[in-house]
Amino acid sequence: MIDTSQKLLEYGKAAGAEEVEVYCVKSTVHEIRTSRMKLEAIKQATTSGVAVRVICGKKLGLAHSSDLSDSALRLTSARAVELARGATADEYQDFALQARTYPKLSLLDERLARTSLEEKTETILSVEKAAFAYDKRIIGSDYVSYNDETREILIMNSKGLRVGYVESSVSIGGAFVAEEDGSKQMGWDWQIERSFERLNPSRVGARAAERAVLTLKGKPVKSGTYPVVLQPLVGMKLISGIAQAVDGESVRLGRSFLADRKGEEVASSIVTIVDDGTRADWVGSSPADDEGSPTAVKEIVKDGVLMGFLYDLYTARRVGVKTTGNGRRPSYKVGPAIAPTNFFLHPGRSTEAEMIKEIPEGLLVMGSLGFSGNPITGDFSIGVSGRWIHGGTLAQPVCGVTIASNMSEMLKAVDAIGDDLVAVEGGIGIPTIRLKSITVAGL
Amino acid sequence: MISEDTLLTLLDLALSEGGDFAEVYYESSEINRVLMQDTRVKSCSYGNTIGAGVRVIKGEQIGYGCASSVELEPLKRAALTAARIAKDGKRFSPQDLHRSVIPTPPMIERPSGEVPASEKTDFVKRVDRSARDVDARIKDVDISYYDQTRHFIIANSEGVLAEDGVVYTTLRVRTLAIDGQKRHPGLSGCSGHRGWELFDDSPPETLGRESADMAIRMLDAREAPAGPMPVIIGKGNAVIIHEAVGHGLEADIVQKGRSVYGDKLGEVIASPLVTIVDDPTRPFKGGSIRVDDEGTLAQSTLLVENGVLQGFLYDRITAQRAGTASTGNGRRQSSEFYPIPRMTNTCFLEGDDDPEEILGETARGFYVKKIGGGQVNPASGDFVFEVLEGWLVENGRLLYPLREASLIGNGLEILQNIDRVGNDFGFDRQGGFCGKGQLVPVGFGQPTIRVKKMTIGGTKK
Repeated sequence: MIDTSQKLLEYGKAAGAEEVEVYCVKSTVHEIRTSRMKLEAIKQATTSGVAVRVICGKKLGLAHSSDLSDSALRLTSARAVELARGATADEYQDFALQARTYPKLSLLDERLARTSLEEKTETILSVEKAAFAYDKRIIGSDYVSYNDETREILIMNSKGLRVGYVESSVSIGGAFVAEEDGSKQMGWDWQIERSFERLNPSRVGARAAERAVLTLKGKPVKSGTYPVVLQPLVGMKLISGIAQAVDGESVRLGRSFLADRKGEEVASSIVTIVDDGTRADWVGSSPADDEGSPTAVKEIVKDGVLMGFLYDLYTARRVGVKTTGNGRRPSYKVGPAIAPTNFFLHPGRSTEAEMIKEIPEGLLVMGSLGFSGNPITGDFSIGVSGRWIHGGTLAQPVCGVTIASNMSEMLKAVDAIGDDLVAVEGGIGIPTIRLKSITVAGL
Repeated sequence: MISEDTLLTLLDLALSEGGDFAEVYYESSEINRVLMQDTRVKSCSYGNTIGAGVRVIKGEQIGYGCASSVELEPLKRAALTAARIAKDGKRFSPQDLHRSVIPTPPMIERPSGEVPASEKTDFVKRVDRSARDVDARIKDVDISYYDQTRHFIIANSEGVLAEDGVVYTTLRVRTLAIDGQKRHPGLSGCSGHRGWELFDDSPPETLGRESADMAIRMLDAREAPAGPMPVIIGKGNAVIIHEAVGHGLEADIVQKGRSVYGDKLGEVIASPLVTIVDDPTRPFKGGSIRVDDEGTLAQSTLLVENGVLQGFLYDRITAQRAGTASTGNGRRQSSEFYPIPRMTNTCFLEGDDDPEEILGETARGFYVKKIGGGQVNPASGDFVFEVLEGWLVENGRLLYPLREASLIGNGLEILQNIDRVGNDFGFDRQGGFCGKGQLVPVGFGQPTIRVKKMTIGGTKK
């Protein structure tokens, strides 16, 4: 990868670029799917790619290629330089300098490479086994899958920057169908980790089955305003919405309901939200972001007060602050833009049972469907399923209803936080939370 | 490009462990992107990806290996990876390849990939200007242009050899209106399997204005109601049908016993006003293809006719399992994925009602002008879709716009409750991508329809 990168730096300069940045990735992915305790599919994908960014006369040009032959590399560099001409000259475009230090993180599960397909298949079969054992009403699955990826990343630029690392991620997930008296319901659960050892297949299977069984034969309830308890799988959609609203570029352009509100109390005083690129056990971490800037721990909301936003190099330069190491690429095929690393709401001390016990009439939200969330207005609306809460205990199953509010109001309505913080998707994490009141739309 | 000899070598290797069926999918793709933000053309980009995926089927099991390469060695390794799904099977050789003739002529007049970058940047600048010209309250315009030219070859051990090239072009305009404390986004766009001539029907002035107009209109949006009411869904917003019924008719979901429609073939599942087809042969839309990603020629498939369930959407594997022929719905995101049954262009066919009358006779209800994304739980049939622009209807008139809300319903109930179908069939200009573990572009066609009752997920009691 170093050879390829050096060639690209050289070809870019030769083509007329003032500055060149190269991002190289090599990835191996395994996926295993099972159905009804039998192997359904095995996949192995080996891919690599390079992305080049060039600055010519303050103009930015980008090109990428999965073809690493010398002629393709020359073409890629030439294209990037040629395309830069079409961009608007922008004095804020720049590439990163090598930082003095980067967080030292161990992101690779070395055992993964030695773990056989059979062992991985066993793990995923354990998910199914646990789900079927949970309740005899579990009749099948939508999907049950195991995925792992090992990635090697190298970022270099013409200002002398060179950062590289190797990382792994492993995940399992399942969606199971429960059936009773002709009605069907599906329940999901999944887990994503850095290392194979941390996977807990029986918990994933049981949780997915539990969600299907507990919401089976659910019916809508009467519309009204109620307290609700949100399990992490659902809360995740809301915390993702907050992550979008603290994107420094959206904030700069007024595309966020949190723009102009730094220093204000935007959430209940028990809410603390952090973006932590250095938390090695979660998959959003890395020593550097995809521009080569070191990652860091940032308090976004502290005890309810909005502390700051996420930045990449461009927006940071534009608004006169330092990058927070949040310039990230979803893939080498897309240029870097501001995105969270590990973005999560700090855990509290409550358990789900305690939160439920204090509710006379309300809703435990276990599953969600869709998400309509607008980071500009803060309005959101989401389809949910779960169990009605009556007198502090679980009552009838509920389906076909929505909860809706404004993210601003929702943050202020948080009145209890669980001790069960988990990373739900990528590095996005949230514990179970309780909202004092929210509109439930049903009958 | 990959030669027929190489394809045969890979197929032979893929069957070396005794698989029943092998397939090679080779793809090369070029993309171009232009991003305009904050009055600046922020970047122009180009990308080139190549790769191949080898699939082996043994019984009910799939082995898949892929590599982002055209070199023989990595492709051979991919073939051997896929081959391993079979163990101790009877070994046989692939049949000679016979090239499929794709009857439909190519649909591209001016390939977007060949349009000079300067023409594209001029175009997005015009979009930007026309959006800002609408109103001084338009404070931000964000435009993204993207085109992809994809060339693919499919060869399988049964002798199928199919090859096609497609061009997909799309542009999206996000505007932001700010008026005092009120702020709201607007959105417009267009997409399709079409070249640069896509913009003949969607000139930059229209695209910019549509997005800006929406943002300005929505500044006056009020709280959406919470609870059930009649819902009118404007022309082109077929996301509702895609979610309410489409996914439940994909054969993989049906065969796993998790579709509410799985056991209802030949039965009445909808109001007699409902006729739905999956139609990739309608040109220029997101789901318009000539051949699917398994080499099966694309065809129109009747799903629901006058309320009666008529069929499902099959790829090769699910068709074989059901003892029928593939409907040409085996699609994949790229060579990194094996194909699964997917929709193409979901079309709700038109009825006899005048759309003006449908609105005029609605005393109180919710009007969906612009729909967003949706999701379905096929097991229970519950589905949601997000409304980007909705209006409150009172006494047959659009009264005022409503803040964003999800609408939730149950597929079987909603289909029975469709009581008006307009005569104004049309496609949504914007189109979109459907996600089912992998993304594929799809199209949505529908006339104005009315549903007697759906739950509006707003905040106002």
